[in-house]
Amino acid sequence: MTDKIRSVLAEEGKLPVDLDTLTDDDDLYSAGMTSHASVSVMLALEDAFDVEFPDAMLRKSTFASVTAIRDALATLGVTALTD
Amino acid sequence: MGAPAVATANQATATRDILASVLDHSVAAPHRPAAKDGQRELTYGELRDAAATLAAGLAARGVTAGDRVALQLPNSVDFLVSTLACLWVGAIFVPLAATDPPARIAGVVDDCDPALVLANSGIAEWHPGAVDVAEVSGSTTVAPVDPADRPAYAIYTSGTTGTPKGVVIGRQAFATAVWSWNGMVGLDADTRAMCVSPFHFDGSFATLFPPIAAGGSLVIPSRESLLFPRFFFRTLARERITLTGCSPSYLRLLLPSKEIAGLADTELRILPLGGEACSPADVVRLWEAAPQLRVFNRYGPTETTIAVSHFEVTRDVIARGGAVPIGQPHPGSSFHLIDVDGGIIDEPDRVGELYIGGGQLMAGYWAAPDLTAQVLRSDVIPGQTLYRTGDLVRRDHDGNYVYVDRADRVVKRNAVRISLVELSEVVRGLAGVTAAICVAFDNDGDLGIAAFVVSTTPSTPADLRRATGERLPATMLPDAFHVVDALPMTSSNKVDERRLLAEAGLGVS
Repeated sequence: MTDKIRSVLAEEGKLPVDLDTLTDDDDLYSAGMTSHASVSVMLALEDAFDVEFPDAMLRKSTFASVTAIRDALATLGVTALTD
Repeated sequence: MGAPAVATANQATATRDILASVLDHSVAAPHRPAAKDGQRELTYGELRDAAATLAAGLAARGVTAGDRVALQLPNSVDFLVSTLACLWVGAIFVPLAATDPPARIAGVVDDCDPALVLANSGIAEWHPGAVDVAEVSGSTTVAPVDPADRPAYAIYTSGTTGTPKGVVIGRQAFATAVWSWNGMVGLDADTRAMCVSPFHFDGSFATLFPPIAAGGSLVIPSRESLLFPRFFFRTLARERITLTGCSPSYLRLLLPSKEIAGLADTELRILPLGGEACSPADVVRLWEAAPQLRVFNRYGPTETTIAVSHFEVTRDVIARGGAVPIGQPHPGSSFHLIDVDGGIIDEPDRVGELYIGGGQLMAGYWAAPDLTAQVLRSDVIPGQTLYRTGDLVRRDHDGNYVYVDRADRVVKRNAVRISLVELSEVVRGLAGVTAAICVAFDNDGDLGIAAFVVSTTPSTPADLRRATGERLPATMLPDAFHVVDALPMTSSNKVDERRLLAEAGLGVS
């Protein structure tokens, strides 16, 4: 699941640094992810995991780190088993 | 005796004080919804009670008329309540940018020396000494001060010098700006407005205070969520919003979203755009999705209170091509075009610097009489105080004013005068291009122009240069084209030109 999140971030996050240098807890915005890119990341995550983020989860902080994204997906029922 | 009495009454309503208007509604319709955000929802009666309680709390802490109260609050019902409480006790409210770094906040606080800084849980890093707005309350009700012509608020703008200046706006100017816009579009108790722009920027006041003065209701979503176009469109539909306003940059964020297809089925009818030049191409795309929308181009420096002119965009004007006019000055305000020699320009189509007179001028910059004297001029037209905008404007043959550029944004390259705004508009009109901006940069000591382009089709800088060259003479072409994923925005929802230059490795000119 983490690998899949990371591949979405590599594709859509448009980070100025190599994603492999960031830990799961590092802040993606501090690493240079723009607000615009986080919208693309959100849409790509929905496609990749076949979920839809509810309005209440549409906040910058939902997509602030690999861990934050994994937690958000978990609340939508995506787990390592279902993925 | 009917006629004169009616005329007087109309005049009185025409500039009814903002707090007085809200109190009127709280008496006439206490149960009508006034404002809601993600946390709470207030009726007009509850809004009055919340403002009264906070006003009593301010008074209990010794805040009196003329004191400043800084608001370190995100877009929220708390912000609205706090502004009303400040008007109640006659304090000058000073909005701080929720996203500004602590050093800039500290600079503004140092300058305006507030009696109190109010904050809430929506702010991560409070200014030292800030007080939770929820904890400021008093049991001894105080009477609202006589608005007379007291200062209402001070908004800090960076200006060209980079040092923030506090623009102080009086209650009368505030009310005049609000009621002029209300009169133009007929806002009333059925208006449901959604606040999009950040409240530290006075353009945001156009969707905040006019609906509330008219007895309508406000929906105030968190700015963090509005970043997601889907959230914008769903909230718009669910809350049956009739009016919202934003910057052209924010509109460009929304336009590519697939949810825009549902816009025609919503109740949205009025959309004022302001804060930057309005792009005809964007309005065309908007109308393709929602032909019923009344789109307005709004103009007004902070120094002339929210907006001092509005133009309702028409199909004819778009078909004619060229820039969208900014319209004509609000009732009680006047526009004057002045040439480089200080002469008044009377004929159409000649560009001059815009000076503004009338009832919406600021009182001055906070504690900066010299800066104030530089821009509030009485030496241009004898007997009149005019605000010098620094904007280049012309009047068209219909009598509408047309924004050309900032006086300092018309650049001269190889002796050719080029408007970066007009150049940006040409690049934005190229096939496949969804957003573009042209910015001056330091080209090895000469002035260069860089175009930053967002395109839906794969485009190389060479493709873009060729396509632009088909529309413009070689002397006007940008020196460099940069294809970017998106145009980053500043906290005021304007394109962050410095960041674009920095990311492209270019220096500021």
